[in-house]
Amino acid sequence: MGVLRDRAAFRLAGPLLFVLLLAAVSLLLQREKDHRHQQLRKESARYAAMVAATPIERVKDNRARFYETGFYLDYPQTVSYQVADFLVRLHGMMPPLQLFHFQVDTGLHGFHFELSVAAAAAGPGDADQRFLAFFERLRACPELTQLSWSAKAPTALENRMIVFSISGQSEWQ
Amino acid sequence: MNTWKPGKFFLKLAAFLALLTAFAILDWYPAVKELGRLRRQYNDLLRSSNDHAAMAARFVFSDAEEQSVFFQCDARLRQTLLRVETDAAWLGIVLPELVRRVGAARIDQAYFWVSPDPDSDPEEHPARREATDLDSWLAGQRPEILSHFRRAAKSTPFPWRFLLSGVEHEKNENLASRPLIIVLGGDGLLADFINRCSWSEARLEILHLHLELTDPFPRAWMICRGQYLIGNRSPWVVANEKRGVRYNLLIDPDSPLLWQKVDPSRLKRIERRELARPPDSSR
Repeated sequence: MGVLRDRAAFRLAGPLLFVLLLAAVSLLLQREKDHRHQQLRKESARYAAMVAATPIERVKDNRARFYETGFYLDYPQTVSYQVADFLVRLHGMMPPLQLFHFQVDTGLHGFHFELSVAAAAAGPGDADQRFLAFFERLRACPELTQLSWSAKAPTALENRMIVFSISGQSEWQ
Repeated sequence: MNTWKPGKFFLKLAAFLALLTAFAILDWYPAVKELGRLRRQYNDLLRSSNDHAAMAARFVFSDAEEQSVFFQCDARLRQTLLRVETDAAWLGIVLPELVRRVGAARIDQAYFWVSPDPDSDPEEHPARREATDLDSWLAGQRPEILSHFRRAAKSTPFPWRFLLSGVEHEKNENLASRPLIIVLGGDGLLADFINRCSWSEARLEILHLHLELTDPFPRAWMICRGQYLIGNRSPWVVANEKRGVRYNLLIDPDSPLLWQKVDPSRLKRIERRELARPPDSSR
């Protein structure tokens, strides 16, 4: 009887040990997980305390708001002055061309404009030359970007005037 | 007699392997995956802490003086906005001022178009100055005017919403933003008017300007917008955006400007600049 019991116990011991081994590995992994969770909680608390003690983002937000408020307060006057000033300067650099149409769309960072100018075509290539000289003067304005002009518009006006279209972008100064 | 039974052996081996696989799939693999995630989170947090500590060492924090500048800045913002009871009251302030400025710029004709709400088409307002023969030209311009006006009336997201959140102090005070159309015709100082139209209490922002300098005389239409605080219900009230949502950020959050204390002189009085030489548009 005793021999039979020993043999049965021996047969059971193998699987049992194996299961215990697997469970031990699971336990170790679980302990490591708990440890890392705890580590993460500690570090999170330390970081939160550090951010609360030195609120960099909040101060930066306040400063950004200060500058944005300044921008907002000045914005209407900046827009109207720069659009009007650009119109005045256009008048100044226009002769011998004629400004026909001027259009502006404003935005937070600047304004987009489109204008049509007419040049008298006294001889062949004359209008082109005059227009290109004007376009060079326009390009010299430091606040203007993305300037482009379209080829002669299809409409040739009376008195041998040729219309050119220009579009571009101006940044708030 | 003890004989080797291969069938039984393989059965046992399969059982062991099945058990091992079950443990590996159901417990170890998820655990190892989570360990990896936790390690990454911890490293990220550690990096953030170190970055924050390094930043804090170089950052200039606010003192009482700077806090007071912020307070003044908010107060100034609130003072700047007009406070009215009704939309009509706002128009009652804005339009006479515009008529006066049109007169000062010696512009012959002026119409003002307003709309009762963002969904209606704008109509001519009785406030005007000798409006005469702009009608036929305006009829051709109307579709374009309406298209720009509708865009202005339903400007979402409203670019100043984040900045102006919190300016409504009273319980029933709301922030409103309303566009209006100014139509000008005839000789006069158009550029001068364009420059000065924002100088009034209403602080009108020019959204769109359309100017034609063809015969018989210069003609222009503009869409302007003003913000005000209103005590009653209004269709022009700006919808509240979630705080923390910013559109069209004007300041780069990483700008070195934000690392130093602000210069209070930047909140100077609003500068009204005269044009160097406003040309007379009469030709």
